[in-house]
Amino acid sequence: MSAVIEIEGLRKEFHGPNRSRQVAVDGFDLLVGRGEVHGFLGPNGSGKTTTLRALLGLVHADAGRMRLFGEDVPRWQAAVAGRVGAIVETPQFFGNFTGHRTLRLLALAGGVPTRRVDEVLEQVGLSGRGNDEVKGYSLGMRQRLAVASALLKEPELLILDEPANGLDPAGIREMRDLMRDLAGAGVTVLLSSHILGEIQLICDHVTIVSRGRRVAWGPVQDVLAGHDQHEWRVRVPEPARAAELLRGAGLPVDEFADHLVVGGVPDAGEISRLLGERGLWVHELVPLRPDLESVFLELTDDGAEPPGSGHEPTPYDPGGGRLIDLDATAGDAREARA
Amino acid sequence: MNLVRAELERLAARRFNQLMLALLVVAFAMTAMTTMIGSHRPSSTEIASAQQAAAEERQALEANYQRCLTAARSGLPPEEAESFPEDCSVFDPAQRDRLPVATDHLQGVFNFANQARPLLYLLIVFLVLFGFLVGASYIGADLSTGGVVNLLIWRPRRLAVLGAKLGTLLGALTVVSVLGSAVYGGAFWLIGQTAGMPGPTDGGFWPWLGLTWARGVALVLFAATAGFAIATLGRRTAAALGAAMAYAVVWELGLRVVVEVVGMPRGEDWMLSTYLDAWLTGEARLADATVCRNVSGYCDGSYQLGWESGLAVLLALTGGLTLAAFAAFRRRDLI
Repeated sequence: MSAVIEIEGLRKEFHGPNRSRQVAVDGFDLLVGRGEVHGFLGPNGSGKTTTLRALLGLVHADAGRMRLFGEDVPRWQAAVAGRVGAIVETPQFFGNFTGHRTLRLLALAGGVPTRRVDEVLEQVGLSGRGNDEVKGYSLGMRQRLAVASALLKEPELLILDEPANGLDPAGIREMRDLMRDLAGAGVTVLLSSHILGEIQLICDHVTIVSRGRRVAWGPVQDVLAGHDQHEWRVRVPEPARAAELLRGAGLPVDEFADHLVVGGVPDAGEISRLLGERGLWVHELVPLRPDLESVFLELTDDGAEPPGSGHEPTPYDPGGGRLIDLDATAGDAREARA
Repeated sequence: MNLVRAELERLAARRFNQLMLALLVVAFAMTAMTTMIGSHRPSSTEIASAQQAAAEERQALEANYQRCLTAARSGLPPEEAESFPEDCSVFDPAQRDRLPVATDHLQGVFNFANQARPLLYLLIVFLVLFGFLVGASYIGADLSTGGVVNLLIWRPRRLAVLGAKLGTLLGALTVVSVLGSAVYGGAFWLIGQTAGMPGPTDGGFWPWLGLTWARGVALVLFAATAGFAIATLGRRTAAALGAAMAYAVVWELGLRVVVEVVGMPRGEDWMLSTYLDAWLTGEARLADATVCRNVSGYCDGSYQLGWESGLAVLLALTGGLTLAAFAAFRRRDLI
């Protein structure tokens, strides 16, 4: 699969007052293949938006290499701009312009046939409000308008920064369906979002960034599998005794009010066997699979490695790139899931 | 070309620009209305009286000139002679730009030819203000709302985008200036024809009017470019407005006071207003009191700055600001 986005070693510092400097992105790498719906995750201030702005030529990188469709950017930005639709954060529009005029002016500036305006308004569900002034739009409608502006030029690559901002649940679902339709039509989508459940539902690949560095990436299922602690929720009649038995067998056990969480066991039958041999019959045995949220929280915890430390994570490595208190974090995650 | 068309439509559709244009029209209309209401066609008695007053004024000028010549020949007491220069040509009525005429003494009668100069300057002031505000707001609002970012995602060539915006702005302002001037000038010409007097418009009147108007339109474009450039450098409209206010208060007012207190020679040379005057009127006539400090008797400390000096300063200023704005915009992180 050919790469649509390639970023290697991207670094960007911002200089503040009194010669202070802040490293927004530090040696960041990103690879997005053609046809992928790629989730781009990271906490606030982790460098997501700076990365997207650098990729779009809005921010000058201090170091690193970026390519879009195999062309070096920003050097050949103009050559590939027609193939890229993007929204970065929530775009602002002139309030007294109608949605239709806003898009028409962009289409005119970009040399896109203005008939596309009605098509994209229909596509994002704004066809009935296209002639209303933007100042009367809700946040969700403005977000739809932004997505419509990105779709105007029928892009091969769609870069969306928080497209679900301000959308209600129905709107989020429509946006999800739209992403799926676009992906089905062969459009490559890079989607930055905080709504991790949506990313998990929509995206086939994911990159997680923390403090300006990539901490995990790859197919979503592989990233999740890499963080599977092989944990099980166990309900038994005598939990204290059961915990003692399991610990005696060398298994890590966390005790909760009405259940146990047992880790490090790939096969559930092992737990049944150990307890059954001592006459403890299991009432409930449920696998605790990691979801994107728990992986995200684990990898992007405040204790994560600061930029510039030289530690390079490996793909799908559960411990790659983190310097967090794994026990505490894993315990929190287990408790949340339990 | 598509970009220019889009920018032109965006410029015309901006609410602020529409408001500014409406205010400009209202200002023009009010000026014309008050002029028309305050003017009437003079009666023959008024004309005769005015002709007599003008003749008396011409005689007084001639008498003063003769007294100067007498003083130069030492024919006056020293205390009277002191107030006249050795060279009496400044009092020579024949060397004046114009001699008093009857229309100067007609009260409540609009005279198109006589009033053309202040009316033209008023028109230019309106247009300069309009150009500066629209120029600053056009790019300032786009930068502060993210409109430029939207556009750059579509058209990543920054200098071409900024250049298209500036070019569109200047083109649109030229059209507005030409149309506005035609309507404004036409309105006053009609008032002169119907409710006042046309005045003497022969000789050099129309060439002078045309040249001054062209300089005025150039000044409008200089102002718009400066507003655009400062707003680009400051990333918002308020930067241009603040810079203009700060310059006016700190430099034109503050420094002028300091220059006068300190007695700095040719202090006016440091004021932008001097060069605006020189450019617009063709020649700034200035006085330097410091050269008369140790002079007894008549002292003429006047000097002139030609339109060339004015043009050079205006070009250097707007050119410098524009270059700085483009350079900053090219390298700037748009966040």
